Amino acid sequence: MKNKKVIKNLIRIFVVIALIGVTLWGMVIVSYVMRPISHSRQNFCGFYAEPDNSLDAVMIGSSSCYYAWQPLRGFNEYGFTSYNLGSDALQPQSIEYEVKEIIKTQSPKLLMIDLRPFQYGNVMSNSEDSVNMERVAPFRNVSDNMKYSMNRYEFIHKAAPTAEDEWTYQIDISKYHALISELFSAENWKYAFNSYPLTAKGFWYHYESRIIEFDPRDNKEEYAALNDKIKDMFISLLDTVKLECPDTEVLFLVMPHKDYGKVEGVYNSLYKIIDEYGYDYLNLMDYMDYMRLDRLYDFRDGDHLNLSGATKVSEFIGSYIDMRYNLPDRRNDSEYENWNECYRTWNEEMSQVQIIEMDYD
Amino acid sequence: MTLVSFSFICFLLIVLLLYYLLPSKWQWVILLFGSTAFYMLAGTPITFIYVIISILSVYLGTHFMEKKPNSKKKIYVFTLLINILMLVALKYTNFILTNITAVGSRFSDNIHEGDWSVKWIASLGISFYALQMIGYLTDCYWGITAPQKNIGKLALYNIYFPQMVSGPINKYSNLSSSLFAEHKFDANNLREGGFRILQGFFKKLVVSEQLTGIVDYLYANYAEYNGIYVWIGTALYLLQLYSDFSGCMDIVLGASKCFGIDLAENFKAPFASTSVQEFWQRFHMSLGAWLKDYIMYPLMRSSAFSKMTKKLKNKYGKKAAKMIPTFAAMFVVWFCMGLWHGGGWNFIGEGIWFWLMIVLGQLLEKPLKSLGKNLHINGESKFMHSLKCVGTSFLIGIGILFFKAVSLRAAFTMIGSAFNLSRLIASVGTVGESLSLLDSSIGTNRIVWAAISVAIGLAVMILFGLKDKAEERFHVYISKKNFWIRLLVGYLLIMSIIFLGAYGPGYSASEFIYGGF
Amino acid sequence: MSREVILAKVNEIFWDVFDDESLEITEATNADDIEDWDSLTHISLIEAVESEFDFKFAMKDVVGMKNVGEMIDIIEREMA
Repeated sequence: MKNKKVIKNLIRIFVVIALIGVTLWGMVIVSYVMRPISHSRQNFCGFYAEPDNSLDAVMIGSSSCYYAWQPLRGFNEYGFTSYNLGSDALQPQSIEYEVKEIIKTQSPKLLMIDLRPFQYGNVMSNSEDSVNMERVAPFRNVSDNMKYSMNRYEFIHKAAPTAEDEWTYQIDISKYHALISELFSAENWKYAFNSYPLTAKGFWYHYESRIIEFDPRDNKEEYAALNDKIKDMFISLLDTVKLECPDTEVLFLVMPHKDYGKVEGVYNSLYKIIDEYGYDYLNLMDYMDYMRLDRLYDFRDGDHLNLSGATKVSEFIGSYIDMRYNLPDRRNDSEYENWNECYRTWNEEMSQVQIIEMDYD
Repeated sequence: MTLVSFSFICFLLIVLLLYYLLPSKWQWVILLFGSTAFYMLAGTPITFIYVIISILSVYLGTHFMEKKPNSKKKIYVFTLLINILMLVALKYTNFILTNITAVGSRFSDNIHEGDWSVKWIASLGISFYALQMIGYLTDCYWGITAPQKNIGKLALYNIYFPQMVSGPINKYSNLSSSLFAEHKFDANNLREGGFRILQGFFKKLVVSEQLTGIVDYLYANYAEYNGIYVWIGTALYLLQLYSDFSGCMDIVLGASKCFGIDLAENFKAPFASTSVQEFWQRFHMSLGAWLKDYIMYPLMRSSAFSKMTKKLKNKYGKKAAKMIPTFAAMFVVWFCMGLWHGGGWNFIGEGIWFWLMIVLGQLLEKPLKSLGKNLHINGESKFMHSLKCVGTSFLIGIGILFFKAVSLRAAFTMIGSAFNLSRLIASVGTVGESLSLLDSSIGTNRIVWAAISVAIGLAVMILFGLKDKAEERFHVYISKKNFWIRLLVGYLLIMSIIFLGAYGPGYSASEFIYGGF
Repeated sequence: MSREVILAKVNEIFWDVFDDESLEITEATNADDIEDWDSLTHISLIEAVESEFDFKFAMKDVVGMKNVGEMIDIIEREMA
């Protein structure tokens, strides 16, 4: 008699625990499905889809970078594999957590890091972008696209903007649970495991071109005082990289953009710190002529290159990396045959693209 | 900390743990400490002083009424005045000042309405605990209940946390034995309590919170949204008010049930009422009972009223002698009922409207019955019953319109436009446009989701309600079922709250309004 | 005054208040037994009884009374 009761209760407990487990797993899947699709999302899901330890280099950047660096060109011309992990309006506080996320599944020899998120470090800056690190949407472009993990928990806990409650970032479905149409779209279900391969390895292109007026570079020798917050974040990032991936090289990149001249002082101060850490930086503003970058034809707007500009920039960065860093050549490696296929598909598509000239409106 | 929150559940669990783990003779003490902690977390800590004044004054008052029976009346009146004055001062000072300046502005150009105001923070739950304590004090004065000698226990009666914020108002004689008793752990209490709390969360998040944004918006912009929108807004408000308040009560009574303590019910299938009078015997029942016991009865038994009754009997006969004093007493009751809701003429207007409806209902009862007989209409048929329910809801709707409107003038404007034929027709034409504006502002997804949630919520509430009408409340009914059914129902409730509930960033009413039309 | 006499008088009062001379009141009768007996008519009953027997009920009795029998207990006590 007593045994029957014990067994009955055990069965009940088992069912309840199983139900909770299945529900939690189901909620994770549903939350992944309901996350709104965007370039940022696809970039992250594409990254998670890459086989472990298959990437020689990973780029972390904002949209200036993901419209610029073409991993497949780097592969086809120089043989190294890379991924362009970009998210819109990337904030400086996010980068070190992205590094930690990357090294969970990859052991890149090189990290390519966008320096632009730190450019709003000028103490005097009153650009409205200087409050970018307080904005919710750019933060979520990263946090809402990471898989649930301890790293993501810490990222949100330590760095989330206070405009929304922390738990709403941690359990992001609280923000998206009204988007029922997403639940019924087949497109969203591709991302049910927060992982889906991207042929172009994180690169996106613009086809428009606009004429850009670059701000004059009058402060080439200036070293601007960095604002404390930015400086701390930057140092923290450098310390993190030194600690977590001591054998990895780091190349900080500055994509050509219109207002570089205004904030050149900030960059100079950042370069100094990079030197102190023994890492490298590449300021593409200094090589625009060498790359034959055309301000009339190669830009979609003051911050973003179009396909034509991206191709030129990628060739340059690719050759720089090839000269400077000792990355393997995998073009004839049978294990990386799908990279060749990807390149063929992608190159075919890119060659069909026509650049269209636009006016500023 | 609000009742509809994860933190409240955590708080409740902690108190429950202590309650059942520690020796049962400490249970009421745990509740006292828990309630104090709750007050500090949910309200402004410094206002606890008003709670202390309330408890001390009533404790000492009842103590001395017993010790000095010769001065019983004086002591009673004195203590009563302290508590009433405290309530009035905290709740109605601004209302009084606004009226003074409004009158003054007619006599002098230097005074403007609203010139004087205070910024005193009201004590959490004072509308409820003040009434509860006044009731207790009066019961002691009348000898209905013996005064509580233990000041700690009296304090618990005052601030018992489930009922602190929104009631119900419990008579001391009903609550005291259970509140201070030792309760053995009973799984069924937790089952019923748990389901009731789930039900409350469901009503609040899936129905009430989904509707708050649009109701607030329509009422705030009544000038622009007139005609048919007054009907739409009020119908939605009726649903929102009921689901909000009854959902809140479910959480309150459910939480208390977990401790084994039953509180007074506030609702009993109110929309099954066939008259306004019946409605108020089914809606916010504990307040109605309080007003009846402590205002209605004493008034009607007062010598002034007795004299009035006698005079009327002699002049106008029995019927008038019965009705007129009753209506007069009811007027006072309804005036107070309106005023209790808030310091504003629109609240008082609400009370007076309901009084009018009840009086008319009483006066027209017999004539309508004979009219029905002459027209060969069966007054008891299902159709007539439904008609009466709809009619009652309509009249109640007008009343709550006064309650929700931004001012008395606004209320009249809204009612005017609701019955103005040309306005009605004109506004119906703009509904399509408004919908598309809403669509572009918050998105189709959001609208569809809200609509589905409310529809499902309403269907489920009617299901809950059918059980309530059949005298066995849903949470009791479901707790009797076997484990697997309970698991399924509980699971479905939780899942629907998570997916259909309006919570999280972007779903609060203010964000809705901010999102704009 | 004996209980039967009191009961008879109370019965008459009920006929008056409820406007129904067919009502048969016993000591066990309470509010559940008569449809129109609500809180308002209760007051009328109390007033009529007070007027007939010339005394005033204490508030606690008004509220505490459970049936006609208890009412008669109080009347008897007052008459003594």
